[in-house]
Amino acid sequence: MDMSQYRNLFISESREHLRAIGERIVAMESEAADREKIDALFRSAHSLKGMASSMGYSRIAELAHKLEDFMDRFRRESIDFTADSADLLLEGADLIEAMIRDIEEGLPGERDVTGLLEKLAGYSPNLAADAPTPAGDEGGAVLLPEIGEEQAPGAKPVTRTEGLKGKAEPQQTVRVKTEILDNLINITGELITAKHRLMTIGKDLGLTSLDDAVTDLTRQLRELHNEVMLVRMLPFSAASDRFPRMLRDLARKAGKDIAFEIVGREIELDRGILEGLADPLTHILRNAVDHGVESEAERLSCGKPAQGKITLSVSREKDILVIAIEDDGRGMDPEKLVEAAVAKGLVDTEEGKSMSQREAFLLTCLPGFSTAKEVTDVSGRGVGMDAVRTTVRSLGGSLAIESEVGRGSRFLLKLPLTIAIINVLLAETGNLTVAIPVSTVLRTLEVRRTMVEVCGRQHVVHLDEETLPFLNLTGIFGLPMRTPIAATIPLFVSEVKGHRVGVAVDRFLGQQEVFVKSLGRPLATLKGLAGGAILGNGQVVFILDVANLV
Amino acid sequence: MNEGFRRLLVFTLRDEKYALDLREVAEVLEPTPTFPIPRAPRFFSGIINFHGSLVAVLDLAMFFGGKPGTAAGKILVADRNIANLAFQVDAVENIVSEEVLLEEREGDDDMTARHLVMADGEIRELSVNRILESLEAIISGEGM
Repeated sequence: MDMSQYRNLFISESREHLRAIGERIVAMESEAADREKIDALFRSAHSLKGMASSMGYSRIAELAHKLEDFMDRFRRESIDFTADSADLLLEGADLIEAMIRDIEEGLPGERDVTGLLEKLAGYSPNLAADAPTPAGDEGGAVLLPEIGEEQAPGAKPVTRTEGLKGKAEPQQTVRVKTEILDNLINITGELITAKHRLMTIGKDLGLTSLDDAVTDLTRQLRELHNEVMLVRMLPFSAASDRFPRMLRDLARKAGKDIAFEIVGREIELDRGILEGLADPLTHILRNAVDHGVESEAERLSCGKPAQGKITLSVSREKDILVIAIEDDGRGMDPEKLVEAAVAKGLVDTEEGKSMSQREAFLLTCLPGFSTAKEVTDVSGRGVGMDAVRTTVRSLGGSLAIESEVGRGSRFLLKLPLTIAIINVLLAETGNLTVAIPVSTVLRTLEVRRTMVEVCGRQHVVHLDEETLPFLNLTGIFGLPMRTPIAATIPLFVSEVKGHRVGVAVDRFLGQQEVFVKSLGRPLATLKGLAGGAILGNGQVVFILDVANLV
Repeated sequence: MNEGFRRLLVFTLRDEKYALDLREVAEVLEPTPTFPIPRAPRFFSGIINFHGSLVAVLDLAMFFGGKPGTAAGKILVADRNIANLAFQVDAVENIVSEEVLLEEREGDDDMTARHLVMADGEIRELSVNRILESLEAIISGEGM
């Protein structure tokens, strides 16, 4: 029988089982591993074995079977479920995941499982586990503390305070390919554009009957649009479910005892934002474990509890998403940060002196603030933070950092609820109409030509309260300048590479909502453009990525 | 794909014959209004709205090193799974099956996948992927 048509289904369902197994194991380490939980674990492994068997993936089936046997020992022998047994099971789950990845890529999905099978068979709860070597290549091993065997029985696992409630399946669901959903959204966007065109035609013709029909259409389209946008929404757990396991492994590797709590995993957000957040959140959490939370010894000497705490919380405030990552670790000293930045030539001494605490903490996001090789108390936190801030910005959001030496730090991400539809400011520059995301516009105003002057090698513009570098969009795009130069110049203020700048356009055309379209290959490679949009009159405009325009 | 022979879309550019694998072509369009692309190399004639997607139109004649191609020619839109790209060409000739090929040789430059010899002349089969890679290299090289 040709099983290839069932392959994709096998892959996605196996992944779900593996995810459930992973979650359950991490939960079981902290809460009492009762009969119900072991049974659930058993069922997942059993299903995996059955599916793999029927698909002819004998290696996976064999490993799943042995994992089942291993789990059975906890039921029959009433042995304790320890960190070591968790490690072995997780190693098994990882190895199966690696084989599934192989299958996805068209490889046989048969990795060497003998090493792990031996360990499973030879496991005795009374012996401290030997530091096992990773089974197979990358993707198979669970990180284990390299500190020494005394750590193994004593090191406590990450505790999931939230607890694993069985996820109640929604009443009726269907599986739909994401491609189909994306098409639906595209078509809805096109319908809205078409409606705009009808509206324009109606206005030109002055036909009330057409206007009325279009009004009805508008209402229904709005409903359709809302329903369809719901399709893009995923619960935060889709991104955050992997974190407990990740933190557990990181903490164990660092030899730290850390309680990790996630609040708001059921909150729904746009799929695009969720996908974009995965890396930044991983960076920040990793930093919290590696550099934020102190070692047990250090914590005790400061009068803190031995167990550190990291909280990831998500909440919605009107139409903004707020994500906070908080730790009760050593915190950051703003003065030391300024010192380090000045020493690296990233800010000059004057700037450094006038910085607020908040600005000082954001210094960690400057590219070049810390290199991967430097891991000191102050600069270790810089790793990856510039990428984090860039990504958050590209999603239309902002990053703020709060910290207190000795008490801990808090990273606050604020994001819009959706990135598919954004508000833009339309502007004309040369023969181009461009769209500027309103979220990147700090102010718009008109300046007199006399307020612009040359200062050294650049132009600057004098506003009431500040003098800013002055850029001209027409010049940036290499378009012919309008002659004669107008007496008043429309300008918007935005942030480019951390500095406020004034950018001139020929004319502002107004503000509207647009549906963001990706540029695809090859135009996505163009710098300074964040996508395109189709206006109501059919015109194609480009959405500017102002921060990267120059 | 029934007989296992590929089908090719043959078009002309400055009196020379070229071809694309038919599977890589989504649609052939009449001349379509284009909109300017900021900062794009000059051989892009503009961007179009293709059934709700944004597709960049490449003036193939100019890309191969020459004067701008005719604006009255056809626009070959590539399969959206490969790229958001279309080619402006002089005219579309026909669709031929590999079956009638007399001979085929390896391409002798970056953009050419193969040289095909037919009863009525030679056709240069282009590779959409290679053109894409070349475009991306040029764009990022030119990036300010």
